[in-house]
Amino acid sequence: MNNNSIELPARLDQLCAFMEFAVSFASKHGFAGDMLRNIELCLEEALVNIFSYAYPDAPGNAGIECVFNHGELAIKVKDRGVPFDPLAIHSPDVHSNLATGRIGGYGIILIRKLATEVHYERSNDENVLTIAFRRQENS
Amino acid sequence: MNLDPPKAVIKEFGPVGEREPTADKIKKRETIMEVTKNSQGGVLVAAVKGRVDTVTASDFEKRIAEIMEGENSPLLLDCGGLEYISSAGLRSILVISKELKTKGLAVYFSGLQGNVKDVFNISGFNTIFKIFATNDDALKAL
Repeated sequence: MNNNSIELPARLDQLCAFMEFAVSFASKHGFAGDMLRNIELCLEEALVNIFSYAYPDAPGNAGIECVFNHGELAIKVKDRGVPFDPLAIHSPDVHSNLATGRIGGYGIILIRKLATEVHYERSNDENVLTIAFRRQENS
Repeated sequence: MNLDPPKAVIKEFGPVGEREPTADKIKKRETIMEVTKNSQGGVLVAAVKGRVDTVTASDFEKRIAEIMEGENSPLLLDCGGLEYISSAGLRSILVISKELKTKGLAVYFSGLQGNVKDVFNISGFNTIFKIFATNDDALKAL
C-alpha cells in the first residue's frame, strides 16, 4: 500500500474514511466546489455498491487508489468479491420507477454522467472500476 | 451485513464505533443532515440542510415522516441548504413521494443548486417533480 491508496473493510461505517481520503487527494490536486462533490458522489455510489453486493457470504475489504496525471484524476475502486460489472446494468426509467414502485439503479447513471470516463475490468480476481475526472481549470 | 447505519453516524460524525470524532474531522465535514419544519399558507415547508447520502437517507425519511404525521397538505422541500444528494437520497424522495401519493398529495422542490441540481437533471427527477427556483415562487404557485 502506498500513500495513494487505502484499503478498509467494505462496510458503511467506513464510507467517511474512504471519502475523506479521496477528497483530500483530489483537493490537493486542485479539485474544488461542485467538481469535488461530483467526485464524492461517484465514489459513494461505487463503494456502496460494493458494501451491499460484493461479499454476500463473508466480510471483505474494499480499496481505492488515486492517481493524478496531466490534469486528470483517476480513482480505482476495487474489491475481491463476486465478479460484477456495474456498467452492464441498464439505466432506470424514472417514469416507470414511479409507476411500478421499483426504486433504484440511479447510482451507476450518476457515475456515467458525472465522471469524465469510467471503465470496469476484472483482473487478478479483483473488480476494478476506474472513475476518471478531468480538472476544469475554471472550477 | 447490516446496512442500517448506527444512529451515531447520523447525529455525529463517522466513522463510528471505532473512534470518537475529532475536532479536525468535524471541521472537514461539519453539516450532516437537518430538516426544519415551517408551515406557510397551507403548504408544509421542510427545509433540508446538509447532505442526504447513504448514511443520512434513512434519517431523512424518518424526519420527513415525522413532519408529515397528521398533516394533509402538500410538501415543499426547500433544498436551498442541501449541499449534496446521492442515489440513496433519490430513493428516499421516491419513497416520500409514494407515501404522499397514497394521500392524494404531492411533493414539490425549491432552491436546487450545484450538485443537487445536476443529480436531479441526470436522474430525470426534474421531469417527474415540479421544481421551483425559489420558495417564494413555489408558495405563490401552490
